[in-house]
Amino acid sequence: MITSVLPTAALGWAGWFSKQAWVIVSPIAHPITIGINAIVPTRGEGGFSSERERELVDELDRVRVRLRQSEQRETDLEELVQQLARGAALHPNIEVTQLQRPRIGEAGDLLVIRTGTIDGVDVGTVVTARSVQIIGRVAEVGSRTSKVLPITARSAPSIAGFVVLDEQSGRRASCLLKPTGDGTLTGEVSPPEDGRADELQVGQTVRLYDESWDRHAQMLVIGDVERIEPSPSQPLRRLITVRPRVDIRRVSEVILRLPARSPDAGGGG
Amino acid sequence: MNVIVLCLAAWVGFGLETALPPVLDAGSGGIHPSFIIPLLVFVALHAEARVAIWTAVALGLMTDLLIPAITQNATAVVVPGPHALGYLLAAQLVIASRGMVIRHNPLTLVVLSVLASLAASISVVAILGIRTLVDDSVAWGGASALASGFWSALYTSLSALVLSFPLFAAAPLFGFPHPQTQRFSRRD
Repeated sequence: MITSVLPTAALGWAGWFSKQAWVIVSPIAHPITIGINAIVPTRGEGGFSSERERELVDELDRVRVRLRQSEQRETDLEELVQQLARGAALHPNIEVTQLQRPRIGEAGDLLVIRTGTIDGVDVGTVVTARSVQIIGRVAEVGSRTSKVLPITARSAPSIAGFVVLDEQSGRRASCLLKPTGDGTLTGEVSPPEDGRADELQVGQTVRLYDESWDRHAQMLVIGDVERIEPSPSQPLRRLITVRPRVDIRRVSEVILRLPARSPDAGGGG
Repeated sequence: MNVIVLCLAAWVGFGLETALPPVLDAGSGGIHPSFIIPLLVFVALHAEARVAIWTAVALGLMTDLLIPAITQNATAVVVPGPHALGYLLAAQLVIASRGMVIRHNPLTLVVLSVLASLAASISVVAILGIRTLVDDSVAWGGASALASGFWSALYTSLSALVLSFPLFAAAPLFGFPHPQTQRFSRRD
């Protein structure tokens, strides 16, 4: 009863016991997860006639992310030039190492994955699926298991992004998305600079553009627009429902995006 | 009671509890059956009261350790206690009612699992509610937790029905005391 009402700051010791509990449960949870994934197909995994087609689609997505990141970098560099002129500097670009790891199971809202500090994972590490689909960020890390808070979890914080209105011209409309708890995110869309919001369509891609996330995660895919409706509070704005391209809670493997260490950084592992 | 068999059953139960929710989740809203509650009810139906209560505390504590809470700044924190106390109350409910039910009927396990799951959910929500008064750093919604707890309790009837067959089949392995022995025992 006492530990139930202890403040969060006084519960750090319980994390160690939690990690030991997962060491016990992982050997049974992981095989069951593998078995279930083999029996019940997941959304977003199918729909490809061959593995080659899937690889090509993934590659196309990756190229699109790089394009958007290049465009954003161009904008940032313009800002950098302006800031350098004023004596300030933006953050340097960070190289990313991608690490593929299996999902073991689920702990409430959190996904449990088989990786941890042994691989250099830290709290806040960005986790994706199929390279470009954001899954979430690491909320707790042990030596061999980590827990990821998915962007669609009911307790996850809101996430800022933008809807790509036109893939060719890169026109965008910003939005702030809040998880609904049913696997989707919803939020109002701010009209683009020219005020035209009529280009908003179901199926358009929503990408991350949130200052609270790592720089290398910007422009990754949050999901696709599933539904558009008028905002109840502001009729001139649109309320969109966004669904990730994969079933986040059913992914068999995830990719962790680890910022590459600089050559002069010490430490091993 | 054979503790090794209980630990083995709990190990499998926790494996199912952590691996199956994404598949069995109704509407992706956190509503899924429990695989631990039916085991707890099964033990509380057949074991000595003292053993059943300690089993409930152990299973609840393990659940607390496996399912961390999420803080407002999107990090995980383990809060030991809410499920341990919730399961303790659930076990007490089963112990109090086991004299009035047919212990070896699978339907008993189903009905008591629903009631025990409901009691545990309400207790967990109440304890976390009290906790919120002291420390509101955990991102938690009482109403939604209570709603999903209610539907999950109903959903648990299915897992209880499925688990009743292997559990009753394995009952001799658990080494529960004979009901007649318990009736005339001073310890129950």
